[in-house]
Amino acid sequence: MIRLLLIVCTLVSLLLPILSYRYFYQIMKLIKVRIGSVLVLGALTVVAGYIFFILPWIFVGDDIEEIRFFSYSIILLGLSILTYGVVKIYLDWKEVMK
Amino acid sequence: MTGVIIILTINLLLSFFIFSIAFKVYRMYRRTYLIWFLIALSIVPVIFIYSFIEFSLNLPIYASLFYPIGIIIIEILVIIAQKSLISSVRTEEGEEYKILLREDVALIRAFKKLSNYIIGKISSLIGIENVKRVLEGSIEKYPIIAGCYIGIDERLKTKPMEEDIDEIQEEKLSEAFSYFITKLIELYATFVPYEKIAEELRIEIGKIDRRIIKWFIPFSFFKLVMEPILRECRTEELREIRIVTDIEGVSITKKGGIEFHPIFGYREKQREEKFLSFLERTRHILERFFGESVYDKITENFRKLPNNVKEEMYRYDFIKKLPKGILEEEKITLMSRERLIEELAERKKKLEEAYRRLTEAKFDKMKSTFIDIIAHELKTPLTAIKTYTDLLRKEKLGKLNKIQREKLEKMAKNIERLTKLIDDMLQIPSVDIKELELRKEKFYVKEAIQSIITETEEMAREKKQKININIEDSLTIEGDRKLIEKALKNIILNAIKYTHEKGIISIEAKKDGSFAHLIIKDNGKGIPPSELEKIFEPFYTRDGGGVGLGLAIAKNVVESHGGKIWAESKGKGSTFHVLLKGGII
Repeated sequence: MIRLLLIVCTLVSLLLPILSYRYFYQIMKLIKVRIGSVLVLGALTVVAGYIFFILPWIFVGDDIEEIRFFSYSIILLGLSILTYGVVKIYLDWKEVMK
Repeated sequence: MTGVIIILTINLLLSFFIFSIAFKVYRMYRRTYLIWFLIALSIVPVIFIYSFIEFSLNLPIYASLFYPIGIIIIEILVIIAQKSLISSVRTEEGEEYKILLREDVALIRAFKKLSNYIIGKISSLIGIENVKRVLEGSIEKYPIIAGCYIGIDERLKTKPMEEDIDEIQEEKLSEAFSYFITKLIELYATFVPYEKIAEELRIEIGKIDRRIIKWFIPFSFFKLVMEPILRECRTEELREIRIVTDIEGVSITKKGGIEFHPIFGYREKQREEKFLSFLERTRHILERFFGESVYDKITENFRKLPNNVKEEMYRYDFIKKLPKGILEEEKITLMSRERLIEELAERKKKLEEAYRRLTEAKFDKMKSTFIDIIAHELKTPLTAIKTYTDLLRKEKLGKLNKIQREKLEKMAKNIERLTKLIDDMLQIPSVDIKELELRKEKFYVKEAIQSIITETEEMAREKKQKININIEDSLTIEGDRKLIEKALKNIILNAIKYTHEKGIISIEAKKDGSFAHLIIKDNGKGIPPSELEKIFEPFYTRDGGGVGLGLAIAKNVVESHGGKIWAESKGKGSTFHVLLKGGII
């Protein structure tokens, strides 16, 4: 039962980014955030890490330490990309706000 | 296990960092959508903290449900933030535009505003159907504005255009909208005097953001500066002007309206040239119709332009290129401003130089004071040591054996050396100018040099060197004889030291204006050009021999007497020049 719930929740969590991307595409039509693609790449990497993280829980019903380590590494990569993006936005906006 | 903990900790710290940066962005630019993004980002560290707990306590499978739920919440929040951002960009136009809005989208909105202003004015006069027809005609000519339509509220809508075109070319957009707006103005001018229309347009253009104002410069120049004057002309006069001003991309209607939209097909510089060429060709003929006053009219129209346009105009030095008689005062102001900037730059340079010199002087002063203090501090205990050594040597404090006597002799020699060194050090920084005045006297150079030679000839003889002297008998120097002799002696000793065996040293002195010019020349190994300045610095030695104070003292003494000292060397041999106040008796 729990595993079924996990599958449903994971599917929902995978569908929502598709909707989010639609909005993101609309935003990019109007605004000039040059690092939009960097943010998408960062977010996608984090989501990929999350998928790896959740897979053992769904299929094995337990945690596998190696996979956990691997997924955290991917999430770390994603967060690093996001950090770059967020810092860049902060610096750009700071300049404009002057 | 440790690896997982470490990487989890890094992830947690990174997520906190991202949150803090996002929070800074929010504090800088408070918007609703940023709050949603912030809430979403605040959940990320929570998930990592939960992960710590879950991993450490090894919780059962149901605990893992927290992760997808957490992710879903984050995603929903991000979607809400995005929706909020979209509506913010669509509705707000002030600050939002500066930060976020693409310039091409902003340009569409600016044209839309200007068009809507005129549509609002003329729709009640000619009916909205006629306005729609103008728009359709414009779309036919320029399909780029196909996304525009007149809505049920009788206003121009451009939203589909904003969102359908991936990248809008500003030139094409400006050309199309300039055409459309010109047609609208033509209709408006049928009912309202053009001077009034120009007045209204000035206000509307003045509201356009500075970032995109450059696209409205041709509009301002043609429609707000020149067109009001052309509209005053009679039909036959306009016909003549049309013939004379045959410029590609610019045409004049029968009523004096200017159509300039094709010039957006040219580069910015060429657009400017086209306007200047138009002005040049029309001004002569306008002068014929209106007399000299046409220059005042053009100047006045330029001055009436909105500030945002004028700022842009000044920035590109456009004013300087205007023909004589137009904006003359502004040209003078601009030139004086440029001169002022140049002068400021010059003064800044001078100030920096003065500051550098001051710093160096301060440093030199500090160095001198330091040497002075150290030398004095050393001298006091050294005097006591010397006294006791003398007492010991004279066996006043008891009998000495042979070894003790030998060692004491060595000690005495070294004390003597040290005393001399300290005496030299004391002379570098502290030539007291007031005291010097009291000690000043006139003395013959030849006498002084001969006295120095007597002291140094032993050393020269050892190296089988020859010293030649060529000094006028009556040549004198004015100053502290003792100090000057010491300075000259140091230079001569230096020459002896760096000249090989059987070398020749020559000393010359002659009158040079109100100075005595002494030249001490040797044929020794010479001084490399890079070291010519350094040799006068305290403690600088060329080969590590000596203490390096001799020439520093010489420089100090000469300069404190208002003289000058320098060295020259061309490969082999070196020449020292000393200029000291003096003359011939």
